[in-house]
Amino acid sequence: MPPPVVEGSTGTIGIARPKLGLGEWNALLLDVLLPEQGRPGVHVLLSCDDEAVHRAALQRGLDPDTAADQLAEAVRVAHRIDARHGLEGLHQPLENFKRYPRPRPTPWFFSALCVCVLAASRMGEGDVDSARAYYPRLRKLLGLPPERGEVPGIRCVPELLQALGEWLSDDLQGRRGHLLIPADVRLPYVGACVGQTVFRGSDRRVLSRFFADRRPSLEAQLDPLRLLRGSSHRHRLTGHAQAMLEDPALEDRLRAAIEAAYRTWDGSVPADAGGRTWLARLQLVPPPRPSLLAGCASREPVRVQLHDHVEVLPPDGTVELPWSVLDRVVHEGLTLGDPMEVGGALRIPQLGPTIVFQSMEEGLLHVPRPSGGRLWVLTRDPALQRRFAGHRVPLLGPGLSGWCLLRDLDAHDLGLAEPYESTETIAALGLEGGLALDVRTYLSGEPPSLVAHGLDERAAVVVDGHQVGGIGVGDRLPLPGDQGVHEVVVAEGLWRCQYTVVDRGPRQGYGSLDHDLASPACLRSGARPVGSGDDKAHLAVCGTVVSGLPPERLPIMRRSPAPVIVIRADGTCDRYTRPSPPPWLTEVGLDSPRWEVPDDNACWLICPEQREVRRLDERPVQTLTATAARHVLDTGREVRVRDRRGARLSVDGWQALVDRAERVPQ
Amino acid sequence: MSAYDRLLTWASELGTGSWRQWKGACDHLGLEPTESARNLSALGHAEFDWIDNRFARAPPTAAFIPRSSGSVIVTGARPRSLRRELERVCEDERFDVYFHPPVGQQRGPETWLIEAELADLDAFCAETGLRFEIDPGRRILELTPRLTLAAAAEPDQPRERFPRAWIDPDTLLEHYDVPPDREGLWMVREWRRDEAFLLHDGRWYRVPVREHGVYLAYPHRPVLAYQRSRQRLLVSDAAPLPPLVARGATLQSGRLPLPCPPRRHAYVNVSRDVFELIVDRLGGVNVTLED
Repeated sequence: MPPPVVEGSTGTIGIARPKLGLGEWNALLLDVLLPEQGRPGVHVLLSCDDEAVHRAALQRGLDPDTAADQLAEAVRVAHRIDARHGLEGLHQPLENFKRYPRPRPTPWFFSALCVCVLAASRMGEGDVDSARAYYPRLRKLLGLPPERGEVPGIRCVPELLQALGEWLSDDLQGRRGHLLIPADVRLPYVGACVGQTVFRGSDRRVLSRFFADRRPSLEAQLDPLRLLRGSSHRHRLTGHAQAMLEDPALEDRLRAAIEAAYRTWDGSVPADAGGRTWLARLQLVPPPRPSLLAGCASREPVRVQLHDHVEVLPPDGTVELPWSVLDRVVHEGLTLGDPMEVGGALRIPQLGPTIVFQSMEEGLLHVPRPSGGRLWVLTRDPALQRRFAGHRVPLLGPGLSGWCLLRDLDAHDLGLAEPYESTETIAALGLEGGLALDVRTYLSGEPPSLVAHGLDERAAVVVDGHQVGGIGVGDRLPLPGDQGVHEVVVAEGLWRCQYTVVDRGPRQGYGSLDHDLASPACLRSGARPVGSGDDKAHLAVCGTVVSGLPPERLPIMRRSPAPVIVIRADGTCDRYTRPSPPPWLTEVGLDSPRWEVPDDNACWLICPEQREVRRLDERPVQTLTATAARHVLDTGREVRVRDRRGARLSVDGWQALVDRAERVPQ
Repeated sequence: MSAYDRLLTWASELGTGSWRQWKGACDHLGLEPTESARNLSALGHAEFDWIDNRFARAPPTAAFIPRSSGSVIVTGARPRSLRRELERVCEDERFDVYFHPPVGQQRGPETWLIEAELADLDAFCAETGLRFEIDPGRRILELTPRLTLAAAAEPDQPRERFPRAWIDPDTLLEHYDVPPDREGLWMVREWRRDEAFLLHDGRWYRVPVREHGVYLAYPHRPVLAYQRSRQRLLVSDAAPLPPLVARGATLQSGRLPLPCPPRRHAYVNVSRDVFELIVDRLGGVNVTLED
């Protein structure tokens, strides 16, 4: 929820920023730093740094620039931290926490630990495990006088971390992960805090670029450590981080640190000269009123510089771009605004002479690599314009000389070159296809395939412990489709996944949608959930089932080609002859000689040629018409009488009908 | 088994799901999702809720087909075990039924026909768990409300962010280069599917079931024809029947309409009175009678 806007005392408009108590900080930071994990056994670090606090502040509508100070103040007040006692006030909450019955609430000292780790994250590249670098930063953060030596009470920090780790593993049963507490630290107290951080401030900027480039793969849970090791961005990390990246003994800790940094990443990309930019999401509004819009993922307003004026791009909103922007991004990327501003700037990457838009829920959005569907294309490539001349749509916008809009193109037909953007739009590896019954659960015989979109080199694929082959970019490797749980490992752990194959599905929800024909909206919707309309007059169709009406009567089937006469309950009659069989019956292989006589209230069926009558209904016949009576009399009394299924019946009923026919005046 | 049969089996095993799941399954099988939905709906296998973007299987049903030598077709859900189970019961001497080999078709799942002594059908269905419906196509047509602007359209504006094309009443072809205020039928190419809008007397209407669009906008343009001798209903490809009417027409035979060049498709086994019922349900549109 956005913060309320209030009138300031000077008459300017300001924003009312809430102040949080320690309990609220505890809850907020717990969710940001140690969120619930989607899978068991995940190792985590506390990894509290300025990016994380920034993210937490935005979530609660706090001023992100002062959030760290506010956090420190809340900790200082609650734990009575001052120059003389330092962190000694944390000892009592720790003892209390140990005594609480399980499961215990969030440790009261949680935010204090976060502040200790935050100070470590602010250390410079050459400050590894250095108490001299750490304590001044912690003092400054806590507002303590700049003295030399350790902060009083710091010795309880390892025990606080230990208690936090036990709480995560035992009380929460690992739902928020298991805390990694490095044991190989040189300085026991400072080292405990430094051990919860891997990356420094400048590393976070490099990681932001890495995250922006590999977001789909990270979302798909490819191993973040392997991805970072294989990325060119690694060379721009601090020496401290690069050294750790090489150390096999630190893999779990690094993985946890990258994941923690990714969780608190706000989606922006650092600009080369400082500040940050947001990747523009371009949208084409088609004719009859064409325009070019841009939005981005920022949760804060972004000031966008357009020619001679500035527009503010609100969160979840768009700004209209001049068409001339298209010419400028053919050969190079374009930054609109000042990256050093609080909200950052908007960036459009180099797009080349052909810009592809794909139809999505929000409209026609630019996609570097279309995933299918109908594409709309803005191009100034003359060859493409000539080739798809039949797809041209008149574009009435000014300032678009040389550009042309093409509609309804297929990605395959377009034959697009590799996009200029290096950013991933789809995970490097994934399962695709298959007839899925649930998440990663497939119907037997219809398994998914393993697909590689972005591998640097061919990778070995192991399924259920057996190597089944290799996979390279663009390959689709069919996976086993027999019943059971299958485990896939690609490139020795770059990606692992499990999928399940079953023989039958849940088969739930049969008949759960129907057409409520009594509803006035019946022709304005498709089927709707059963019972969503007025049930009092439920006249509905579901598939071929018609509800709310009495059942129809079946027709009478005849094999003999001889004509028949039907006497109805109201005494009327009709004569039916065998129609010529409809041609479609032969086409589907039905050449049976049977034909049907409509049972529209029929009581008797007379087959004159066979001297046979069938009683179809026990109801008495009303007054016979003259024609019906003549048919009865022509048939006579000497007949076989059978029921609907052909079983012999007494002739009494028929004789009575003949008696009545004889009384009908002709 | 065709891709359509695999789609039907999958959807029957699932029971109900989202449009996204449906699209995923169609992509896997190389089928066009909207056409597959339309065809399985017309055959009574599935229902689609376009508001919540969901589908659900109809219950497995034996539907009696008129002028079919006393046959029922098996519609609704067809999970994997169903055919085997039906074959087992068909071998039971208590029932005078014959389960024909499946009959394939080009753009839909195969037709399962059971030729039966009609008096046995109630007991047969009770034994197999199938619902039993008699001539459901005609019943659906009789119950479907008559098409009018008030019943099938609602005031609404097309959204500017999606492309839209005007439909020419003479050719039923799309045009993008017409003034935005031209009266008639417009197709707005939204993300999930095309949506029909009508500009009528200066007011915009959304036609939520887009197949109604042509019949509402251009009722005088004959898009339907009837061949008396062959009992076939011919429909322009550019004006497919609305879903319930299409189901009513399809269930005259249990077979999807056949392509009928140029640019028409033909429903078979449609009697003259059923054809007239269809014309009436569509608001009394102009038709052509052929021999």
